[in-house]
Parts: sequence; C-alpha cells; structure tokens
Amino acid sequence: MENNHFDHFIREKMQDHESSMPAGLWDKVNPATNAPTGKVIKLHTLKNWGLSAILLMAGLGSSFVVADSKRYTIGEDGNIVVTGSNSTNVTQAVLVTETNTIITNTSNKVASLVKLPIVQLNETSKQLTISDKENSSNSNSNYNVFENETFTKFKAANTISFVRNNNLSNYKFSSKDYNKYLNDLKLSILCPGSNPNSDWHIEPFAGPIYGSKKVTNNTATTTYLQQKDSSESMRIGYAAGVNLAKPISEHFVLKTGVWVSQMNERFSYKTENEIKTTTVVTVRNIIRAPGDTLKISDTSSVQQIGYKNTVVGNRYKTLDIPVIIGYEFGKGSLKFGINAGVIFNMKHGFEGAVYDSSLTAININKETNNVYKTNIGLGLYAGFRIAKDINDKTQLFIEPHFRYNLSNMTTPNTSFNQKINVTGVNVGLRIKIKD
Amino acid sequence: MMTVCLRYATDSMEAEDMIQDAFIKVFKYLGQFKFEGSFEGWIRRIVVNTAIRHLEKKKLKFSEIDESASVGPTVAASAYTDLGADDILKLINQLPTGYKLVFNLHVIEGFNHEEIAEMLNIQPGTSRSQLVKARKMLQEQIIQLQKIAV
Repeated sequence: MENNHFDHFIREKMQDHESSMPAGLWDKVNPATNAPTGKVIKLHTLKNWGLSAILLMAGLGSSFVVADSKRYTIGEDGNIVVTGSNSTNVTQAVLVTETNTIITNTSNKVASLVKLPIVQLNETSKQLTISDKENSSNSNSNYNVFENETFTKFKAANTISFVRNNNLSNYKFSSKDYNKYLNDLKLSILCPGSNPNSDWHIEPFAGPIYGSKKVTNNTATTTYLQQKDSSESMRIGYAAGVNLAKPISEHFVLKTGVWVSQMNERFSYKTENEIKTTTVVTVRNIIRAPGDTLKISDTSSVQQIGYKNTVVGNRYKTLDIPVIIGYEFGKGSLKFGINAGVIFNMKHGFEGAVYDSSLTAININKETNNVYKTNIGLGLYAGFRIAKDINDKTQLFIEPHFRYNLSNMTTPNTSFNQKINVTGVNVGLRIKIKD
Repeated sequence: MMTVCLRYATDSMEAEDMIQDAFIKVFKYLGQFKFEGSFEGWIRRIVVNTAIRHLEKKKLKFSEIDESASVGPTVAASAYTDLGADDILKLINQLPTGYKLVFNLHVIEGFNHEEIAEMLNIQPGTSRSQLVKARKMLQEQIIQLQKIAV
C-alpha cells in the first residue's frame, strides 16, 4: 500500500514536469534546414513585414495553426507539424491566431468566440495578407463548449472549423516564442513532401520493347502478303526517354517528356537465279630435262546458278512526346501507379528492306522511304508502375507498359496496311528536382 | 519530453541526443499518426522508445535479485511529500541504469511488467525485481535527504 502511494506520488510529480529544450534542437531536427535558401529568405521577409507584431497582438497563450485540419496540427511545444506529408493538397496555407479564451464557466454553454486576426499566406504567390479581425461567433454560434475546454481554429480554403483541443491535446505557448513559430511556419511549408504539388520530378528510363505487328491488305496480292508474313519476324527492341513529372493532387501525377524507341525486325528473303562464278586456275610444271621446266597455267571458270538467303535487320524508329496521367498509391517506401495517356509521334523512320510489288526485296532508307509514314500520329499508352524509394529524392521504378497506335504506319499508296503495337518494360529513376 | 529523456539518460548530453533522435523520428513517421489517440501520447511513446534504444546500445545488464530479500523500508508519506519534481528527477537519475529504466517505465509511464519485459527483452520477474530494488534505493535516498534536512 505504501509502495502504491509512493509510486502515485512520483507519478504525479513527474507526469507534468517540464524541462527546457536544449538550444539549437529545432535547427538539428528541422527538416527545412536543407530547403532552398530562396524560400527561407522569403519567409524571413515575412518577418520584416511585421508578422511578429500581428502575432504579438494575439496575446499570451495564443494558439497557432496552419490550415487544413486533416493535414496539419500542433505538435509538442507549439511546433507545427505536418501529417499525411505525402498526401497533402494545400494550395493556400492559412495561419490563424486565436486567443485562448474560449472557455465557459458552465457546461453546455454556447461558445462566445473572440474576434480573430487572420494571417493568410498564399503559398503559390508567397504573398502575405492580413485580414481584419473576424468575428467568428456568427458562423459558429451554436457550437457547444464545455467548461475549461479550448478549441483550435482551422481554416482551409473557405471553410473555418473549430476542433476541440482535447483531440490533439492541449498545447499552450506564449507570444515570446513567436520567432520559433515563424520557423515552424517555414517548417510547415518547406517540410519535404508537405506539398507535393510544388514538386517536380525527372524520370530517366530505358527498357526493352517488343512489337506485335498487324498487317491488313490494301491492294496487295495474297501471295505478296504470305511472302511478307513468312519473311518478317519481330525482334526485341528498346525504348528510352525522360519524363518530367508534376504531381497535381494527392494521388495524380501529370507527365510529359521525350521518348525514343527502336523496334527491330528480322527480314529474310531468298533471291533466285543468283549466279555464282568461280575462276579456277590450274598450274602444271613439266620437267623435260634437268634445268628445263615448262610451267603451264590453265584458267577456267565455274558458274553456279541458284538462290541466296539474305537477312536484313529492319529498324522502326520513333520520336514521341507523351502526355501521361498517373494515379499513384501505396504506403511506406513501396508505391504503385497506374499510368495512361496519349503519345504524340513527332517522327517515325524506317531503315531496312521490304518487298516491292514484284516480290523483289528493295532496300529502303530515310531518303528512299515511301512505304512508311514519317509520322504515325497518336498512340494510347497504359502502364503499371512499381516504385521503391531509394532515398528522400529518388525512386527506382519498373513499369510494364503497352502502347496502342491508332493509325497505320504505312502510307496510303502502299499495298498493305501495317500497324505495330508495342509491349515493354521500362526501368528508371524518379528524381525530385524541385521542392 | 525533455524531462522524459532526462529521466532515462545518464546526463543532459545524452538526453539531448535522445530528444533529437526522437523528434527526427516524430517527423519521419508523422504520417503514421492516426488521430486515434493523444498526439502527445504518441510522441511520448516515440521518445520513450528512442530512449530505450539509446540505453540498449550500452548493453544493459539486469542482474537478478532475490525478491523476498528485497522488501524496501516503508517510508511514511510525510517523508517525501515536500520533495519537488526536480529533486525527484535528481534522485531517479542517481539510480543504476537498469533500475532507473524499469522504474520509469512502470511507475511513470505506466507499463506493466509483461510489457516492460517485452520492450527490454528481459523476463517479467527481472522487471519486478529491478523495480523493487529501484524503489528501495529511492526510498533510502529520500530518508537520507530527510536526515540531512533535519
């Protein structure tokens, strides 16, 4: 019993005992320390604008909250912290200062809220605006407040809401710490990942592709199509490129970039009546007597008529600009994404050999190509991404994908219509280039 | 939270390391806070766990003692009610690390012996015996203080 009393006494004494934080601690743990200095300077400018004076107006014991109740809350010792840091979608950060006087003496009384000065910081324009004091009692007149209950005001977009502090624990801090709050403000804005909408990513990638060819008849004979079909077979090609990715909301990412690809095809053909001529030289020495040797050279030629197999590597090259929208999800370091979009072909080229109408193989290059279009138009893209965080700024991803081309790659004058749809796997890195 | 660290650390430098590591973890895992309980409690748990991890690096040894032989002296409530939180903190800090750890976790943080055993990878009996000895040592120190005061 005595022990219980002793334990209870110790617990009571130590539970609420507070010690001062060591100097410089916040600088050490502040994730904004490595943020671009430009933004920091901007925020210091805010200080010069007199934000400190406004905060002092709020008086002792003021509460201080950054907008969007789902995303931000107040941490221990008045530190503004960001929750759901990878899923924040705040375009406007709003600081709300509130005197800590929303207290009634009797239970179930209607709150009598004080007028509140509102400091708004537009994160996009970095403009600070200070509104007149706002009388919130009108819009929240029927809010029940219990004795000694304090509230924290949240403002996100056009909505003002009050959240009971006991949901978050009570945090009290004095105006003398307003400089630290400015740092907290900096933290809340520059905290890595706190506003992914301001992030930019670059995604270099490369990977193998394989084309599946679809040929339909235009004016060609059946024999021609059969001959073409038996002569051509697709081989593994490659794709590479770089994307610029911009998160547009919590889960969606917009991407564009430059892609190049090369689809390979094996074209083997047989040429008949090939004549192979071989020259044969026969040398004979006739010794008629010692020192008298006769050297005879007979020259003859052998002509062989037959067929020859030739293999040519055909190359279909594309230069594309994609516009992709991705839906990304996942927890921890492993992320998944579904990407879909449109691919605008900028240039298409062919090098290799094709049959002409007489089934004779003819070589085609960039100058002589009149079979394939130089622009194959639009394609549709779909891919599934698996990504793994390597560090704060870099992700490794692998993305199996499929590209469906909407139009034929052959010119209208060609005797057949050909379209190649592409399956492949991209492997690349997503690198954050701007916070 | 600094007080929490000071209770576990052997000196203020170590406490500073603990609090720094703890807040780095708080920021790192902030997204995992579910708003289902007290935010302060969540941070406190991180701080306590961080402190334990710090102490574990020192390869703590919990020596078993005979529980029956370790019944502490009974100290009248009047002997310690005048003590302030700072005095108690100093007394707790004078405890051997193992005693201090178990005492903090059980008496102040409110963990039971099974939970402490799991956290520290020791037997529940070891936790109990460490607590008994810690309490006894504290009470003896309080008696000493009282004698000095008189």
